[in-house]
Amino acid sequence: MDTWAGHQPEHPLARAERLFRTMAVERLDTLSSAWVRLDSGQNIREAMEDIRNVAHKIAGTAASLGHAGLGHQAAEVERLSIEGAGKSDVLRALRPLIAGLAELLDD
Amino acid sequence: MRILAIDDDPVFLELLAGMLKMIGYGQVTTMPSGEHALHELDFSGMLYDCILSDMQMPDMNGAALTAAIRQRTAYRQTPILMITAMSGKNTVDDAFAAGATDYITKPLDIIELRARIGMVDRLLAERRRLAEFARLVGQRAAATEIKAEFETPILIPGFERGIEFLAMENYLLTLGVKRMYSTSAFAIHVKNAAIIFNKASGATYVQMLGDVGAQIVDALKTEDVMIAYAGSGTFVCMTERDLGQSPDDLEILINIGLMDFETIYAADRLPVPQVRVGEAARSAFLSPTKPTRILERAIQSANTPPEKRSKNGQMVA
Repeated sequence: MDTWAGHQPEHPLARAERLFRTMAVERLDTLSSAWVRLDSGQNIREAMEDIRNVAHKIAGTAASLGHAGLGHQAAEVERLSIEGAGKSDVLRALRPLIAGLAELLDD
Repeated sequence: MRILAIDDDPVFLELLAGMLKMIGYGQVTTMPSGEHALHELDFSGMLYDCILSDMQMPDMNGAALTAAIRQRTAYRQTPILMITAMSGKNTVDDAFAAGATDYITKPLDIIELRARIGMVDRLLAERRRLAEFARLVGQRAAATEIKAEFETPILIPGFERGIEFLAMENYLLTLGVKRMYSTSAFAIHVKNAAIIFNKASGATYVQMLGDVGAQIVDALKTEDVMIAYAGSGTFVCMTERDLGQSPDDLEILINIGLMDFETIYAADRLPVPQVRVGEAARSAFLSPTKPTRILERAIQSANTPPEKRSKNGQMVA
């Protein structure tokens, strides 16, 4: 995953990009943990709250840092969790978001 | 321009600070919560020119923070811009009611950011120009300056319920189609505003506007109405509620309330302000126009004597 800000250390958005990648580790953990809880039917409300919070934060920043796909996936997850969508719909939308974050960390 | 930015997401704060730097605004202080922001305003000794706050934060949201900031004398008129996700656009109502000036949507678009902050910059420049003018040539000349700006919408000092006219226009632009059609606006025009303006000092004229504003609030008997001063002696009110009283009844109530000030105005050899309440303006279902059109129609109605208005009564934008 390539971003213009992350590859230019002096760019005004470089710090935001670095922080976005650093926070991605914690956010990936939160989403993965919530995924497991949601999938197993344990503490569903808390899991949905965690998912919504993380998705909201990613949706608010990813696209501006050049991660348009990730931003779009996060916005979709946030929308579903706000609208009270079913577990299966949220899990389906969550999959590409988790994959995208993992890919970002591999980059 | 010194900017205070508040968001519970550190990534967003870095992003916002970076984007502001890109468009020429490098003096940005960031805070992770409303509580931290209020502490900064109260104890840092720094006076900020503009505040950007996330709408959706845990503990204290953007609307509550806006209300708390407006209680601080030094920040009564400071532009406050809400930052909200597109999905949360309908939640900015409370922030506008609490005194927010405008809003920006997430994810940030640098063109939108530049436009919104540019508007704030121009607003601040105008205020600085007026303050500098008043400082240089004294109160008498300042009053003359206010005379030259009779048509300008102002935020009336001491009128707590009033919001900036610009904020009201911005609020209208946030409404979706459905809520737009359930919203109505009506205006209240001080019929002898020009006479008082020409006879009184600038300070007395503004005091008169404050008296009228207070009477409007008393007569409306509800807090579900946004009120702004639009300039030229005209206030605009906007609501989604049925007020349960006709324009004529409201007009009588306000004018009776104003007569209580008769001796005070007589001492200044000024006439008591008397108002005319216009018909409510709504958006027409079949002829969508720009949202702020209902404000123009409301003002037009209040500025027109009843006998000269169109026969069908209600103003449709």
